[in-house]
Amino acid sequence: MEKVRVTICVGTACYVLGGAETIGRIEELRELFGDMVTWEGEPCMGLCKAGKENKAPFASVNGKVVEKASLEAIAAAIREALPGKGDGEGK
Amino acid sequence: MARENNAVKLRRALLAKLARLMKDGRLAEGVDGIPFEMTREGWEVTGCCVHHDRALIRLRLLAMLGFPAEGLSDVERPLSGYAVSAGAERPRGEFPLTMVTEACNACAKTRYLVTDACQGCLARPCQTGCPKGAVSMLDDRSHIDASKCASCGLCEKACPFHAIVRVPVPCEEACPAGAIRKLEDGTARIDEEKCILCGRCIAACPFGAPVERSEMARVIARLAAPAAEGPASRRAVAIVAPAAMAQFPFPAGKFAASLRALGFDEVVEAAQGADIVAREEAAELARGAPEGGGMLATSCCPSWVRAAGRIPGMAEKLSAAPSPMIAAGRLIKARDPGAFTVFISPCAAKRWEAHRPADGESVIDAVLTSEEIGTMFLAAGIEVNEAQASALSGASEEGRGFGAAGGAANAIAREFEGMKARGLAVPELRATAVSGLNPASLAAIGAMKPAGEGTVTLLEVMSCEGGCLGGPCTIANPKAAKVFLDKYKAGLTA
Repeated sequence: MEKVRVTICVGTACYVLGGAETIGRIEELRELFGDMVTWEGEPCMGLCKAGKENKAPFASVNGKVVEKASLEAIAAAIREALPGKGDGEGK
Repeated sequence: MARENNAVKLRRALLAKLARLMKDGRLAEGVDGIPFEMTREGWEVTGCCVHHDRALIRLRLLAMLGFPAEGLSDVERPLSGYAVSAGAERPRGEFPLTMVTEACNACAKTRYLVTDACQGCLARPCQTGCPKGAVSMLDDRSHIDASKCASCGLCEKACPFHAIVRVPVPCEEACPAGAIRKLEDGTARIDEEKCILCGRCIAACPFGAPVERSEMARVIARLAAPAAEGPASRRAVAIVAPAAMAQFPFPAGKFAASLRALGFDEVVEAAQGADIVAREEAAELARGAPEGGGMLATSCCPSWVRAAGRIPGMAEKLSAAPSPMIAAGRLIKARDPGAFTVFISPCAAKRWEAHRPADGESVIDAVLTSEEIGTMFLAAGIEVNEAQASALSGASEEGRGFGAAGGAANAIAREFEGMKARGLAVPELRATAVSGLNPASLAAIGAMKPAGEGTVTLLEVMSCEGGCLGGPCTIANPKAAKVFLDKYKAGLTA
């Protein structure tokens, strides 16, 4: 099965504005989703410089940008991206 | 209290905005606009109205410029008026914390409350178990008479529905020193005599009322000062605590290079000072620590030093060695008296230690927190990861270990063993490390006795849980920071 790719911005703006805490708690994602998810840190995604600093920190899930990316927000985006979503779940 | 919350986010966003204005030399003209910029789009009103929120932001900025934020006095005076003198030198002995009293929620005293979950059951263990007869039934529900309640908590434990909750006063709850006092209007104040500057109230208050009086303005002004205006030597030297080196997921050399990019001329590891401290404390122990009756307590943590002064007989046990910060500051001032030394750490007490009036020694000119440095990087557009790692000033692995609980004791014990190996007659060493000051650990420390004849006892105490990595002004989660510290200790460059 295709794994969900989580990328967390470790650029200074994102890191200082909350990303550091997310990285420190990343193990919790593994506990929630097991090996269905891979994650990595990425140097500045450039979004803060594009005038969206008040939406930092940023992350991406399968290439889709997550704004104000707390661990909870990332977890929600992962659930969204997991296969099977939309085929009855939540209906 | 989660470490990542809106109070923390607001603080960092404000620091970043201030740092950006200062860097651009636009502080006076731009600072009064910040409360409006912050509350523009997407702002959720938390006080009575947006105007109150702006007034509170103004007071927070006042503290970030280094001024007290108590009361609403001078509300008419624009921040630009303060900005002019924000770069002035700190008077010695000034208390480094202040309270945005207008933000204080004036939380009612700790109490027990019956919630909607109460089922008005037959058994009513809350009622039968209350030693004060404070619980009665009112409208088919349990009710606690506040005038009779002794806050023992038995009702909370007895309820099978968990319907009774304890509502604490977060700052009082967090303070290990009993330093929170309440005024008649219910707002909290910090008792400056009792406070040990652990900084826990800063993190604990859900309204973000206790804040630090930052020195960022002074440092940025100094870093930007043109050469002609400065004294003979105007070299700005950053002294970096091990725990501050461990706040970013990149090699310490990159952090050091980023500090240079901010304008520091030199970066010195506080761990160099720690190496000196470890040697001095090991020597005190080798002599049998006679001043402390066979017991030596570490003196590297200023919050612990303040707490120790309140434990009978503990002051004599404190090591005479300086803290690593002071030791490193002396090294720099000895070779360059005109240097401007800035200490960087995640600590709320170092600012007090650096500017304390007692010793009259001025080897540290300003103190910044890891959080402040992080926002300065942000404001200056410095990407730590992209920095070309510079060489570190040099310190031992053990000295770098001072940033975590047990690290100081380990370094001192290593020195001690070294003395023994060199054939010196030394007593037997017993070491204990305590981190995370609270009423229980303080009582345990107070009850500690030297081990007795032929032995010396080393007592390492760090105020924060897990040591400086658990400090109140960190950026990184302490668990992650521990991994970064280990890499820094090993001198890893990638």
